[in-house]
Amino acid sequence: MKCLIVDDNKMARMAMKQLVTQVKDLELVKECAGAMEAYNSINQQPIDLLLLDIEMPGMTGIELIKNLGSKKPLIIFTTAKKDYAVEAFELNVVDYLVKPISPHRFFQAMERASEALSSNKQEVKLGEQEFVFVKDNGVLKRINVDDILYLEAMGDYVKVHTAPKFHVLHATLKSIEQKLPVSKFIRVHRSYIVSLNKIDFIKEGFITIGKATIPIADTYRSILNKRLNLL
Amino acid sequence: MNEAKYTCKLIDLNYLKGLSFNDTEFEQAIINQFIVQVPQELEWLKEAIDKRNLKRIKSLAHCMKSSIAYLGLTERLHSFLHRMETEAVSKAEDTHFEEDFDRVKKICEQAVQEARQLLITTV
Repeated sequence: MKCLIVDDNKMARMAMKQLVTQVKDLELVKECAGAMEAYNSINQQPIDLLLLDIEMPGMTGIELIKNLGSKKPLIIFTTAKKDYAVEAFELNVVDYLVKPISPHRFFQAMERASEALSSNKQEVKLGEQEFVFVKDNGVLKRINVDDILYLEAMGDYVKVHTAPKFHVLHATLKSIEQKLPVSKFIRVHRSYIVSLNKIDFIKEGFITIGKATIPIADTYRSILNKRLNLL
Repeated sequence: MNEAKYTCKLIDLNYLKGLSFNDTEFEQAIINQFIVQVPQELEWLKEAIDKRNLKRIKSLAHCMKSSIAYLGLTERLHSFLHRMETEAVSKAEDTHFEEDFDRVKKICEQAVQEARQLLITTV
């Protein structure tokens, strides 16, 4: 994973570089003292991950992301302030690290970045394929991804709920999760994956999709909250 | 880095040591950078306060929050730097810039002395 550090504070760049060198498979391409320098660098040499300070003289980190548009890599904010958390998640950043950053927290963010990178690659592959085939009574049936409401684990089987009916597959929820577009689905419980577009409402720890009520496990709650487009 | 040779009153190296993974060259490089960078930031901050350049005060106070953290000075200095930053942002009429700056300067100058001693005793 190729990364770039952007911070106007030299000590912060030195510290970040030290953390980066501890992570296997993370390659530091460049360190920049300003957002404009980073913008030019990314346009010349694409990277996978941007470790980005927010408040910098001239162009801020947030302005840099907006200017990068479709060339935007994965972003991890590294800032001394907590104030930008909401804006950060609206910009779909992978993580938000508050300085002084602990190594433990940094490694956690790197794991997230690594997962997000592989998900993005998968999503690119699945981007053109808006359907999946499932085996149903010996027949391979096509299901449009957009018709899936939610998926439910049942022992060695997974029940795929679509609007008109459900299909039972001999598979694990995890194996199916890997084949679904990350942008459209989210795991909310050990036994449930839901389509974000199909959620009617969320109340007291439960998601309602049509007539179904799906529990949200504590471990998935914060990730779900980040993915919801809360006004 | 053998800090047993010199006991710091202000500097706390715990965070730096956690960050260094026993890389003493890195520890020394950060301490060196602190010695170079912090006095420069203080000078710029003083200029900005004298000129009542609020944008620059905000930017420098914010930047110094990071600089002082690497040598464990956050607890001692954060409140002063934070007040400078927020007063600059809010364009408050009654500010505490001079008072806060004096406090930050005094502690930073002592910390720079300690940092120099740390390097001398460990080279």
